[in-house]
Amino acid sequence: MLIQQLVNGLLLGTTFALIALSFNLVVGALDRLNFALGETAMVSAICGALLLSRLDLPFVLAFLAALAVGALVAGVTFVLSFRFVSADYHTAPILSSLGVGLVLTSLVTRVLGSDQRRVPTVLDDVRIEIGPLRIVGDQLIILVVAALMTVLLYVFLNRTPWGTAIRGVSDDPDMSGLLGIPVQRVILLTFVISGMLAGASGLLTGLSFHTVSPFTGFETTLTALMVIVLGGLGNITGGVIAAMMIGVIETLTVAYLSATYRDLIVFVLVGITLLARPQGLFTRDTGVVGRV
Amino acid sequence: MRKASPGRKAAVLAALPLMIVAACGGSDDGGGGGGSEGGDQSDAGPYRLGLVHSSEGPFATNSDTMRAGARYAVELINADGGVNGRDVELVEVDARNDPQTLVTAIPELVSEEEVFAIVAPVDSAGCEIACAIAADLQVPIVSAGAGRPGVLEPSRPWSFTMTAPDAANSIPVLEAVMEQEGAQTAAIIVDEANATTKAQGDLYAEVFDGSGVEVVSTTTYTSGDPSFTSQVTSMAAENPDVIALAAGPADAARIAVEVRTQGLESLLIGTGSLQAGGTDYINGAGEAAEGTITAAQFNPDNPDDPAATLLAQAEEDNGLDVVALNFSYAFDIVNMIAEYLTETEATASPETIEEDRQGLLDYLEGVDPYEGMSGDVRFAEDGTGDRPELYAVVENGQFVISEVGS
Amino acid sequence: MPALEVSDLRAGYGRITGIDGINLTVAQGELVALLGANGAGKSTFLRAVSGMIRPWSGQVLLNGKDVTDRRSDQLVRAGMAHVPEGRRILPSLTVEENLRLGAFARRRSGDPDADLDGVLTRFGALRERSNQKAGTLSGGEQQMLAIGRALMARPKILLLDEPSLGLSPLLVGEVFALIRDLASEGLTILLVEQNVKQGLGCADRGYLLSTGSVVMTGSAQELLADPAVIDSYLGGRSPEA
Repeated sequence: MLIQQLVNGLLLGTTFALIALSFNLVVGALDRLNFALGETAMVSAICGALLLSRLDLPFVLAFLAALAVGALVAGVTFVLSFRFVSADYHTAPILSSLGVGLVLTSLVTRVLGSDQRRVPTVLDDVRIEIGPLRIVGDQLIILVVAALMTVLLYVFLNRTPWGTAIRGVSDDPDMSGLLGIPVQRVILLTFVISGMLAGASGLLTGLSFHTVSPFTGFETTLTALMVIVLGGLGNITGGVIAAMMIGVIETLTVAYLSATYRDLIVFVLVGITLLARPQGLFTRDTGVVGRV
Repeated sequence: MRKASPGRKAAVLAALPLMIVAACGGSDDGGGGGGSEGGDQSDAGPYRLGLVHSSEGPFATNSDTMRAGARYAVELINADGGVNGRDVELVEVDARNDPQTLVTAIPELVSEEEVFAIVAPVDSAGCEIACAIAADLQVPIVSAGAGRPGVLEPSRPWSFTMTAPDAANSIPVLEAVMEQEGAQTAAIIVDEANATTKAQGDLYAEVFDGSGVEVVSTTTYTSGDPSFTSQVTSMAAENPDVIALAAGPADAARIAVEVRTQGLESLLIGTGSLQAGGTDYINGAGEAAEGTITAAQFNPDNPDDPAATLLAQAEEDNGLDVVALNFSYAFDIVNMIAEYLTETEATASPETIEEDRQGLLDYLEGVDPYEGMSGDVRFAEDGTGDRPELYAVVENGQFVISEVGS
Repeated sequence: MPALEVSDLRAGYGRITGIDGINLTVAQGELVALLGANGAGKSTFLRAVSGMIRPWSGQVLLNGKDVTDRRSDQLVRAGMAHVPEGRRILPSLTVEENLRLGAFARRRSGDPDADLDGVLTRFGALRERSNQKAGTLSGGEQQMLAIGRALMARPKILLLDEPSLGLSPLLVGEVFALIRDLASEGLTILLVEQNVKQGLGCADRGYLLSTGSVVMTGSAQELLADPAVIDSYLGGRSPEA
């Protein structure tokens, strides 16, 4: 059972990793946190869940719709809370993006209601058993899609002009402008991609948890913050590793101790880590490979 | 000290909605309807009943349902000429799930609004506070939903609840179900962050102990937890015959889905409160809910009159698919008070109000039974509802009620 | 038509005036040096011209076209490349990625691959390190990379801000040789230098800046021979002496 629980933990970590990836992209590009990403994930997931359960759309289409919604919401967030906020006020985008998050939550509850939405099982009959290990169809989907998205992101950031431009802007926005890179458009693109990751994470999380609630947005943000702080702000590999660690720790705590200790243990571990290494487990300047 | 103390500020804030409600309530004092049965007191103005609901907090939905039932009762009574020729008027207060509001609102209801009796908050926590204050002021107060053991203790004999406590109702029912299903082993999953669900966990332990079922796994989570994969994996390792859900309906739904996703075929059981919050569970779990058995104390398909007629009419008048427990209980509370007032021709005027309140108390303790929308209503000695022992099975997305032993 | 024509440009930071009404012209193919002490306003001038800061007033014409208030990336498209002070290479990107970003604006026109090869041929040291992270290069290599990266945009005019700063005397010599090469290949260059002797040594003309204004202008020979210049900038000795 321990192995099964470890796998459960890693799968939980996978969904954390996507949302942490999404936060870290924005941190990289702008040195700012987009506090509305948790709600962005929630809105995308609710839309995806409605398409799945109401219109019986195939999962692939609902997933693409969730990506599109995430991209749109993040793009709008950029315009509303970052684009025209002066760079001199570091705290302003925190407050303005938190505000966008609040508005998103209340919009969803107003328009779509405050009910939890069911995310129907996609691969009902698939169940892989390897010795004592059992992976159900939806866990497989989560694993494959998350891995695919990470690889695509890696390829995009490292092998395409726009991806390289994102990394350039993240290194030095002014200099990137002097090289002919349209910096604001690159930042918008970064937000859009981070929104897509948030949307993917939202719907995959919904698939794993079977429901989506309109009130989980800020919780998601908090989890993501914990992951990226532990992994080192802006360090993408660090974020993925930290996400897996937190997923495993949470799962094992619940399985072998008690659910009430779970948050406590995670907080304490993160606290101890930060006391020993205030920059997180991994630092940001681990460079290109470190960035994905 | 120039700053207002926080307590004072909270009290002012808490009183605000009350003032608004009071202002609105006061404006529609109409003349009583045409005289009908009983003595005609139509010059005396309406009978005023307090009702405390809560637009916020975990029981906001239940609270809405409860208020709808009470309003519907008042609507029918007034349409039928009122009580003793006088209208019945509900004075509503929104407690917003805030104890502080209750502390100021209940005395205001009594002294400013001069309500005769109060329909208490539907949730146990709110009921406990509201009832204690009402008891201090010697005003009868009845809850439609409070079911936590001991919730009425501080406020007896002035308080009542229509609901039978989970333990009183669910233990015998579930023991019978265990026997019927021939269960050998069981797993319990408990929401540890909630007093009510923790009590449910103890209840299951008692049920399994009483029916000789071995508890092979106990796992925990905290309210609103996202993932149940880990807990269900732990349970699956023991492959129990029964999985007992000590969980709120929405969480229970997600546990059910995870159980079926991991391929477990165990029987899912819940207490009466899972059935009471039924739609959340069934909508959330979908097919995974099928076959779930819960204890129950209210039958929305009661075939016996007058319940059957009242239920059918309520469904039609309010456009409901099924009448909820809290709706029906609140409906019966208002009607019982109205029946008392009619039978005794009590005036509830300032001169006699204390006496009349005492009379209502005696009446409620003596009902045997009151035949209402929720079937036969009786109160046990501790003021809690004495409800029938029923159980419900989820079939085709609906709770189907059966009597134990039938 | 001059490559760059700046008239009455004023700019600064906050309320502090950095440059106060500067007029400057660079003809096609010319190498012009903008000289002055630390804080004279040289970098402010370049930043205002290349769109890094917004000028308060004045006009910038690039090949006769008004480009005042354009963003940096638009100016690159219009043919201006700016190698700022401190080189500002992108440290977490590889050398090749740095160079390719230099051609971002024209990545679909021309032949960036051929240009990349050209730059790597010109700067042999960079070819060996093309897959290495730029942050690991030495100061001299970073300066080569910064200039090479600017060339990838195929600029019509190159603005160089203190390219010799922080380099060893040997490398300084190399950098100025490179600048002379580029100029002789026909590239229009505006060179900002604190080292008046070095700057004028390779320039056709020079502007002397002091506290935000042009105090003297003329051909490199004239300026080098001017007693006031010799006095204030060349330590009282004529370069020939």
